[in-house]
Amino acid sequence: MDTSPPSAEHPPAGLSPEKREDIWALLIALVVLMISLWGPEAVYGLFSQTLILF
Amino acid sequence: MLGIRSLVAPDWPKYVPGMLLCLVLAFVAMNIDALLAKYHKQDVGLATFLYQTLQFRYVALLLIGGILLRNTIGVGRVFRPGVSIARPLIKPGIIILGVHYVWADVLKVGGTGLILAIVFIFGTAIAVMALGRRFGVGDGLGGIMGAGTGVCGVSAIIATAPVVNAKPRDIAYAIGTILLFGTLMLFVMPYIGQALDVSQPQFGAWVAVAILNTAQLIAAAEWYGEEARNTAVLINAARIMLIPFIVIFAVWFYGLKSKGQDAPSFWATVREKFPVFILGFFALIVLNSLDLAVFGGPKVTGSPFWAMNTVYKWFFAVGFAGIGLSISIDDMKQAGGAAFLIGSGAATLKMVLGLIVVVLVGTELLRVSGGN
Repeated sequence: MDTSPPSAEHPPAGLSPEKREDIWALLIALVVLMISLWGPEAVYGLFSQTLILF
Repeated sequence: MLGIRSLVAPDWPKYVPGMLLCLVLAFVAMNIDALLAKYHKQDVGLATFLYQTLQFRYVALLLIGGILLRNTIGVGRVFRPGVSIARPLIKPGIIILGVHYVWADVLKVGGTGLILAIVFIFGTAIAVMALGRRFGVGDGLGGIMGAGTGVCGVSAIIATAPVVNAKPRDIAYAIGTILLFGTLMLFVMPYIGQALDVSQPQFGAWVAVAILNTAQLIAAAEWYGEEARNTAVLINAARIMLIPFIVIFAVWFYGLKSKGQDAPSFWATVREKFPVFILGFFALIVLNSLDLAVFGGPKVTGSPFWAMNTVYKWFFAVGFAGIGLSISIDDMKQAGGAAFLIGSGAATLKMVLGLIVVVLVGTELLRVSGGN
């Protein structure tokens, strides 16, 4: 993990890593919500049955 | 204006091998967990011992397995970038967990948790910063240890570091110390909780105030049980929202200026440091509270929220794989003498006081009732 702090001499370009993580988290959750709205049975089947072999 | 390109690292292919490794480990651990659960239900002695007595579930498998892998065989350099981004995948898991809550939970448990969080955060931060000055620890290290031991470990350290002009070595010491004690407490607290017969909601509140790293505290709570996890996530949400305020507090306490510039404004700090992913978590709580047929609920078979309820554990699993594979004993030895003393003192104090407080608060104020 990059532990170098942002500084006045080297301002972070674009988003900070934490902000980027947060936005990705929101987008991923949104995609999961959309897919669950479209096919809840398929989502349930995949994550509870297909991926679990036992 | 935010563009897609700012979200995607130009060298994204380097993250693929490590992410695949974490996905594979998560898949294996979740299946071993399911297998042990199945045989435990059939009263197979060994399965019951591993699953029930030792709490050897997917959380433990991924953390312990990951640590063993990292510190024995090692994790090749090609995997490390992907492993480092696997850990934040806990965040979508937290957001999706919002379907477990209703607004009444936020007011009851969140309100109780917010009071606990404020008392512990500022109390610890003040004590650590004051102790730091008392024992001649530089303001840089003292400031970030205060933020780190008070609020949210690594995130708070990184957020506060530029404000207090912390040196890179101090940051490494602070992060090493926080992760060391977080790891120790992650493994120790569930067993202490069981020995003392701490209820699940109480345990969730306990880890939320005592363990400083979001991923580690969720791992500890998930390890203890579902109710513990539900309480821990809600209280942690309250706690991490305070990160911008602890940064402001550090500025005020040290009266410092950041690298010759004026101290950051209050709203600029809040805007920059606020963990926005938590807004998604609260948005799902609001949707669940509205009890709309289109979304259903986690217990309404066939509904979208019912389906989403099966997904969050997979994000957690990948995240926990990333945590385990990231814990290097050598890195933790980075904790220098002063950081180690401050960290151990703060960690022990928070653990003991946190336990006393949650026992006094009781279970009902900390129990999440959940949706329909």
